[in-house]
Amino acid sequence: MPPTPLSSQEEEKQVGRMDAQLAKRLLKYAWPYKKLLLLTLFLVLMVPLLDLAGTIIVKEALDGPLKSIIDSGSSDGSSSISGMNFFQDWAQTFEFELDHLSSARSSLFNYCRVYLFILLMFIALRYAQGLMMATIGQKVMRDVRMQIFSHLQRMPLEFFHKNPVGALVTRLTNDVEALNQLFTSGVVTLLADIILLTGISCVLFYNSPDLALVTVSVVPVLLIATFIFRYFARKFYREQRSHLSHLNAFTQESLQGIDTIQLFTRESETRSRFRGINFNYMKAFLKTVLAYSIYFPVIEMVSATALVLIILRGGYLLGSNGIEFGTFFLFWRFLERFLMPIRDMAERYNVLQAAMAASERIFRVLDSEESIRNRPDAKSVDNIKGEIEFDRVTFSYNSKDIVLKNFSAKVKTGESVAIVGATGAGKSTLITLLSRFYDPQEGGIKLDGTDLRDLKKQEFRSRMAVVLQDPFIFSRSILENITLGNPNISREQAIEAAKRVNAHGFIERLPDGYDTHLQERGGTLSVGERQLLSFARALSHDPDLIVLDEATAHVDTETEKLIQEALEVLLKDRTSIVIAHRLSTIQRADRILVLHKGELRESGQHQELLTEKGIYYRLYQLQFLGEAGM
Amino acid sequence: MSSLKFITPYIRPYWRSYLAGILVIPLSTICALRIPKLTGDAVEHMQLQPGEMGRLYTLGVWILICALGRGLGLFATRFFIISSSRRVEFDLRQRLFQHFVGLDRAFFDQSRTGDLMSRATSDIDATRTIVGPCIMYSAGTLFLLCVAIPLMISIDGWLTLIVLVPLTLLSISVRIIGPRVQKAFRRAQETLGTLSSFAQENSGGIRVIKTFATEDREIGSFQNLCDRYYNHNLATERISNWMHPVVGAVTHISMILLLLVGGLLIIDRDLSFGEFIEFTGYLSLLIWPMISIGWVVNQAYRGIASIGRLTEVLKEESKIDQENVQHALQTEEVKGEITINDLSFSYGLNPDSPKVLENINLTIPAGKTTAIIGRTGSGKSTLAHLLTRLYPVQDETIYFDGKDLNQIQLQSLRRAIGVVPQDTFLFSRSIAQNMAFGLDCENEDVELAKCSEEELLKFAQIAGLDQDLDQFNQGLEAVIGERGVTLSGGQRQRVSIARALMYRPKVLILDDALSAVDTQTEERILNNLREATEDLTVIFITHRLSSIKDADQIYVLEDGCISQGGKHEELVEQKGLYQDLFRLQALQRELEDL
Repeated sequence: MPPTPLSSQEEEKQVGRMDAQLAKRLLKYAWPYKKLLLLTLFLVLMVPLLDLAGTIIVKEALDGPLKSIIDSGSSDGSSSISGMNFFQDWAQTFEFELDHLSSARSSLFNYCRVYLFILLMFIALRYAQGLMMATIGQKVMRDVRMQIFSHLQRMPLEFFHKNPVGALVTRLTNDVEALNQLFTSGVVTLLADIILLTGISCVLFYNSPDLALVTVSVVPVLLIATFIFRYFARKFYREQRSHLSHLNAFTQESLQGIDTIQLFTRESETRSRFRGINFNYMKAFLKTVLAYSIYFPVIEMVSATALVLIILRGGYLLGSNGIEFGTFFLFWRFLERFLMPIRDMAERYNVLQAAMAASERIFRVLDSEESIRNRPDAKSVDNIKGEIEFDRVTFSYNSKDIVLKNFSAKVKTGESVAIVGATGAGKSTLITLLSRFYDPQEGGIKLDGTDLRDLKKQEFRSRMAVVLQDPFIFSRSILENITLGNPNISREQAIEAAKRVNAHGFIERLPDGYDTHLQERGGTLSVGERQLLSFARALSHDPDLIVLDEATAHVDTETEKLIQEALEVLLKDRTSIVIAHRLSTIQRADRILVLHKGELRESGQHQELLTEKGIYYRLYQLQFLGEAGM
Repeated sequence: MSSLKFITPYIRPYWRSYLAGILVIPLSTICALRIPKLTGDAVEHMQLQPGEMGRLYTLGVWILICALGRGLGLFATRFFIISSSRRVEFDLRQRLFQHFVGLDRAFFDQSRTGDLMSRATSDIDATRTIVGPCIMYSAGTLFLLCVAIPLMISIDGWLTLIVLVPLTLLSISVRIIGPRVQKAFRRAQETLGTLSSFAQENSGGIRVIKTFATEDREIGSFQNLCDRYYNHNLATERISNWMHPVVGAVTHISMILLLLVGGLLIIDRDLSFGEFIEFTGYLSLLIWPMISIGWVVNQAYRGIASIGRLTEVLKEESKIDQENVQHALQTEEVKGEITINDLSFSYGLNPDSPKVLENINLTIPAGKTTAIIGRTGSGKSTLAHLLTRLYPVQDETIYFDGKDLNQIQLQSLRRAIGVVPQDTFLFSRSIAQNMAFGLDCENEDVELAKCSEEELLKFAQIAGLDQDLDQFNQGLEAVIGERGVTLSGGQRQRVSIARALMYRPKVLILDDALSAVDTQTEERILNNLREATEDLTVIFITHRLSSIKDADQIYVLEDGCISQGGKHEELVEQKGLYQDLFRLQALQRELEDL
């Protein structure tokens, strides 16, 4: 499968169907942590039960030590005495009751002690569960992220041209984050909710099947209310989201196009357009507010109804001695705990869907394959002599416009070849093919007599240094920009290389010298300094072959002198192919190849070519003589 | 306090709504607090007269009535207060946007769009939280505490005290944990930012990475970042995960204390079972409000910081001086004569920052074509910026129709000048909408605007767009992507030309307007333009000579100074930059033909 573009429009699209293959693939990521996962699942099982245990203890206490007192009623009126008289009242208690009461008290203490113990366990296990769950989620995220990134490193250049950088970064960040939700908020919380529901149901039915049935009877109403609410809430939420992205896009566009707005005096129109979008956004929000404003009271009513049902049925059962007071208490307390998970069920489903959609997008990246790969029998490259042969190379990027036509040329070891040509002649494409970012449609390129396609590409690439016109500078330190993290290049070697290509001077002037952290794309450096830095990068890697696309950008005379000297050092005693823009470069070259409209039209030495008065003659006047290039 | 002063004018229009929302709170609070009482009564009744159902039915009906009352109250409060907060948000956002639109170019040069966007999104959001949920929850909590605590004390003072003390821990712990989580989270977010810019840069510089075969080392560095992000995330989790156990623990501790003390009181017959139930009911009503206190305080801190940032940006003022306005131009009456008198300019504020333009003196006659040529960085575009006052201009340096530029009402000046800028900015609308951008009743529907289909097609033809339109299946109605990405550079420039022409200016500035157009199309457009701009003052800024051969006068700009001036025929004869450029461009044409 060729690399497919991942359009950003797809981002909002929710595919999200729970297909088994997807689930299986996702499970693979959790597999390395199966022990931790198992332990977490055990805790997920335990924690809700501990949470419920407290209420059961109170119930037992009410039915145990407090039972006789409750049953005997508060008709003696002592309950009206306020707590301030606690001790006085206690002292007045009858002797014979003392025994009975103190045993009730000590029993009560025991219940409290057990409750406290359970509470401590709850705190510890609840914390452990949360943290372990988060740990698994984070570990899985890290793994997925690494897998995507490593995969991206193997993708061909073409893939990066087709896919916007933003979309790739979104895969690595937001989508992976959404996947995490699948593990933490999705599956596990759902599981915990189910356990909680089952636990409560069991306790309720065990204590009084009769009352339990009455309680459960409100569940369908709640489910219906929730699903109706969810339907609208989701609809409004989407509306709100689309208005929000519209609003943000408009704001951003207006900020970026502020000149155009002001020059065309469109300030008031822009404002009123903004007002319209802003208004729509607010309206969508007001709908959501209304939905919530209605839903919460409805929930309130449902649980009040359940409470009334429990009171009525409970009152009846108490009267006929069907249940104890404690049981009534239990039902009353569990009511809310029982309704909550049902209320949240719809929410969980949404999270799952979003995570599924994200995982599909991630897998689409992971499933895109390398179009240029090493052949299984590709040869290793230790050293290259640097003999290059272009053998009738024909190439086009889109199989429509031919960029190179039947191009043949040979570069001998140690030779310095300059390539000249007008814009669009196909010079840069030659370099691209030489690095094997693409394979030519016809013909082939041989390195030391072997076709590039039969060599391990990383290995031969690392033996040649390519210096591009606009060198890419990473927002890392100067040193890292020179060595590119290569452990075989010591700091001293890097500095030595910088010295030899005249980069040392400006680097020394930077605040932290070689450790100065550069801005994105080398923003703080001048064009010339970026050039010198890229020369240092190339030289420090001590390549066998140098491929150089000379910059056309205008630099001041002093920097120009530094660059010329540096070029001299860089190209000395090496096989080199230079796309020349400097007079000194063509004069020094052993041979000049003139590329015109994708074909090799002239070749030879500077003086010879000049006397031919052909293409080179004109190019020379245009590009080199004036040196006033625009 | 300054935040309060900032926000009051925004709340004022909706004070009735806020008042209504707050006034309903007592009703819903009282109803809510009746429910535990009624439940307790029911339990009491069950004890005293087991099996007697009549009273239970009455109590049940009362519970439902109270729940309804509470429900309606909740509805009203939420509806009134939160809706109003959305309206406040609307007004605030509108105000901020209007402010942005009025600011000058220098402000936007200094600010990053991302930063301004975050003011317009997260800062407004945080402010909205203050005037919405914060007000709602704090009013609700305050009232609930005022009513519930006396009710609980009336049952038993000591019990109330003992049970409520741990509850206050809830607010405190939210106050403590919240900001810590925030801080840890911010750090994790920063790492995520580093991580995504690393990935972004990796994709951007993939070619270097591949040519130096450093993929594995990149993977290694990314691994380190991932590890760091992982650690920061876990640090966040370590703190934030306390929230659940703490809330659970506090709730349970209150329950244990209630069981212990309440149980003792029951044993001593100082507390009835019904009262125990009632008390438990109050307790569970208090848990969420207690959490919300901490939350409200945290949000308030964030909101105040956001208000600070909003105030700061709203204080910014445009540096384009509009104090001395004495003339408002009528576009129809504008002649379009421009005189520049000893003009110097530098972008920096201090006097010794490098001059981009130095001692420029020139006259651009009305109705003629003037060309300004020069290399990149010679100051040509700056000149265009100054003519439209995108940057402040010194008094008495530029005269437009004989009037000092600074004394002309800004909008009327810009109304008279049409610009095709160097960097074409198109909006993500249809081609027709982009072309009609400058028209006065520009509308979502171009048909409704003051221009007809024929007119659009006419201008499309002048700008050389007609042939491209066939390429889009919707023609003029084709919507172009963000910044016009679906168009080629040349197409974008041509839409920009059509846009400027449709604006019907008296002065037309073309700043390198044909740089991305091929020579043949250029020729065609130039021919069309000659006819369409017959009565206009045209200023051609370029480095391509082919476009300006026929100009009435040509000025050559070098390093901010005018070095040559005259007609094409004269300049070709003179030794200098113009002649050099002319020769080079002749060669280029020759090469293309080979």
